[in-house]
Amino acid sequence: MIKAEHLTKYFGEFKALSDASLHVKEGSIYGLVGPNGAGKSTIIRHITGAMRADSGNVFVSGENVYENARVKSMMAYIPDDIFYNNSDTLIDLKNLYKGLYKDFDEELFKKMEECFPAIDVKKTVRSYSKGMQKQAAFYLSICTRPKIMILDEPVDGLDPVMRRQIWSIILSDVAENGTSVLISSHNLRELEDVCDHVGIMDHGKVILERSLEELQGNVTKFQMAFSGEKPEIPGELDVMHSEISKSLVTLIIRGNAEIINEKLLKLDPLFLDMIPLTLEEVFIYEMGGEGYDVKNISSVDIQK
Amino acid sequence: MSKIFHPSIYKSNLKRMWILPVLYGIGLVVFSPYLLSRSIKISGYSTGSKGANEIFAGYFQEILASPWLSFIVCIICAISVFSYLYRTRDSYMIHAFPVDRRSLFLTAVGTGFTMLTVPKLFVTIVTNIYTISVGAKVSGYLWGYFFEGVLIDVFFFGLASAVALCCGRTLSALITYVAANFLYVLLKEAIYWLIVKLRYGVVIADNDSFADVLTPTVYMDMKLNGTTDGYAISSDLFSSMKDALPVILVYALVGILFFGVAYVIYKYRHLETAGSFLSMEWTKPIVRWVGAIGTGVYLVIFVSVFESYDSVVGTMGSFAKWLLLILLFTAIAFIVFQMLIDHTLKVFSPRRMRELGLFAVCVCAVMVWLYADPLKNADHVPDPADIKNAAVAVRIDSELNFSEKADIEKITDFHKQLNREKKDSINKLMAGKEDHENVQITYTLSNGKLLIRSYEVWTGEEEKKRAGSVYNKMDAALSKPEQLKIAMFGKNYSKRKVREVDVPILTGNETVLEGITEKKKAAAVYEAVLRDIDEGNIKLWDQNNSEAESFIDISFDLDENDIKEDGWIKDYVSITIGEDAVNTKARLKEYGYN
Repeated sequence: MIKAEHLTKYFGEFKALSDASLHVKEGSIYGLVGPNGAGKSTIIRHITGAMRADSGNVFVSGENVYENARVKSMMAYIPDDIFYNNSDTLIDLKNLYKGLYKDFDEELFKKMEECFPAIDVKKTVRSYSKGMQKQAAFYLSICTRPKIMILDEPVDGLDPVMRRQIWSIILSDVAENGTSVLISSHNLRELEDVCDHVGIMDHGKVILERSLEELQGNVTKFQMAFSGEKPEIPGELDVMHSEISKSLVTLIIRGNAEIINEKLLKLDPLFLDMIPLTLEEVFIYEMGGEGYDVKNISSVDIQK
Repeated sequence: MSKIFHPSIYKSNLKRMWILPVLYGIGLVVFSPYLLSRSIKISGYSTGSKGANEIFAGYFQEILASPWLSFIVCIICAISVFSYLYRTRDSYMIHAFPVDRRSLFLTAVGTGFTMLTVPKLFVTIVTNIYTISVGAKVSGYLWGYFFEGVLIDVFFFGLASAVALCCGRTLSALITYVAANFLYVLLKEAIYWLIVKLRYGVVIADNDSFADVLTPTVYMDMKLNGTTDGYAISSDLFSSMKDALPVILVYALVGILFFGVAYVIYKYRHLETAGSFLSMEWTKPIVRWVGAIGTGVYLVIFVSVFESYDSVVGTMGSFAKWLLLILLFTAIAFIVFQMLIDHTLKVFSPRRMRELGLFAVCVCAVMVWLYADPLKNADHVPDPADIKNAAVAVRIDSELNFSEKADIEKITDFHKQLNREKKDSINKLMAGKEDHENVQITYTLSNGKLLIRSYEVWTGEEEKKRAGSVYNKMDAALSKPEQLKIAMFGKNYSKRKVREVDVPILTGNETVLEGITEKKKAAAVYEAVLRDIDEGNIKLWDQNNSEAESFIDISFDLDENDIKEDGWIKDYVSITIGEDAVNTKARLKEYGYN
């Protein structure tokens, strides 16, 4: 559905995107994660057609998206800072969207008033709280009947109730209409619940793209205890992270969990636990390899 | 194929910016009929008279086709309709909509034209109703000026759009736009100033009209008012409206070209430059350098205001001082502009410093060239055979014109002497001596070019007594009654109809003007003045000499319909007469003025 190929973008001397490629399959929910400044918002702006790449292309349904109004009409983009003109009422914005999106569903707009009782469509968007503004943005976007939703930090800064509400809107739209969704977020815990594919960005590159299942299945945490001297870990294992505390050894290992388990059992541990990783842990350990690991405060010399 | 115009964005834009056309419309309506009615009342003309119609036409031009007003309103409009490009949030949001840049551009331009034209149309209709209701038949003027006003807007809005799209920030758009309109002429003036400072007594001008064309606000205003360099070119405002049309049409075409440029800039503009000073990379060195040099030179001119004239002319020490000041101010301006462009205080990179160094070398070279004048341009006096006309401005507002070879030779002769005595003249100025008069000589060469030179001429008793002094040579060359009469009253001086002669009368401690309004008497005084000029009783050097006790100023109010026939603009002429003006004095005495 979305194919971003080898995007490169400079802001002056700064390379914001460096040969970045990203692929979102039809009907999937794709979570784009990465540290601050990794280039998530920049790649999203290329996918929405707002930015022109210095090199590379973005294709949506096989067509180049830049300056392509027809393709852009299939997409609904909800940035973190939402509105084009927040002195408009939601009715004004509805009229604007109606003129811009040929599939805009006015009937749906009327029906959805019931789903958003807190939103007064006659008030200016400026007078809404941040949470209400987000809801209003989804309200409008869904009425455009998008085939693709592109969401940049959709629940950032919202309270837990509001976050749940927003996720519920997204999921019901996907369930009912088969919409493809690309979400950029820092909240990996929440992404884990909704995404089926994940891409990790760093330094302007998409360093990893997998299905969530594959990603989580590919990295496993093992905890072992040994009675005497600790044996050497087999060199053929792809150990991403290791921690040794007295008799306890914790290893994060990339690869098939069952095969690794068998190899570790041969070391004759007192016990061996195989613990699946959360997306947040996968992110931290994958980023550790990119020099973005969490520093242990005790390892840093903080004395003068 | 996407739409080329988006009504929904257009409506949304107008809804957002409605206050601008409303304020503009209200302003125009308040100024139009209200001031019209007041002016007609004050002037005393009856509605429907020629005089009243002239006043109407003047107001319509000022309200509907004023380049100055258009200039300001178009800046505001362009900045407003493209304002979304100055805010990152809006910029990304609107470009993610299913609209391409072409339709966004055309929709913004359409919104701008609506904001410019609807208030104008409204005020034209309201004023039309008003003028019809008071019995004036001036609809032709009104719609003519409305049409011209729209064309003027096409030019300024096109220029404003191109500039606004080059800039990443509202303020920079404003600065750049004003600079784009005036920079050429301001820089030209600054360069003249430099030349005058460095080469005392010299003003060089080739062809002023070219500079005027590049200052559209001034040039169009001049054309619409029917004047060029102070001389009338049309018999009334309605004719000047028609005369100005071709010029305005050309500007409107250029405006359309500017829209083309603006579109190309928009198409290739990066949205991430929303918060930058400039949105196009290639404009940065231009703004940095032109801004720095312009600011540097103007700061030097500003400083020079606090310096006495005498201290800045001629000497090598002064030259070095001005050179250093220009370098210093330009370097400061260069750094400030770079800081604005880069959004950082850290602009002292080796590359920029090299650029500044190169600039310093270039400025030194130019200044040394001007000072040394290797081609002897400053002292150049054309060959009399190459001169079609020589005009000398001294003492009176208008120039004395000479086209006879013998006269021209006399002028080039004293001109050469002025050059020879320049150094001595500078010394006298620096010593603070008085009794000098500014004289400007303008040669119209056979190839159509103008050569203008300006000097100080010494006019004290010492100079009058010295045989072969510039003063005496000038007196001999310029004391031509025919030329003086033309300079004072125009080519058709003999046919002038005098409406009134104003004579100063001393009442108590105050001097008041009393008018001789009887046409026969006024004509008789005028005739006596002409006779006195012919007999050498009223001289060029007497003019503007009323501070001397024995001289008085008398003024003639000329019939304006008569003077326009030969392109003469002055309908009120003051001349100075002394004891020698026997014919005039006798006539005034006859009418009771001693």
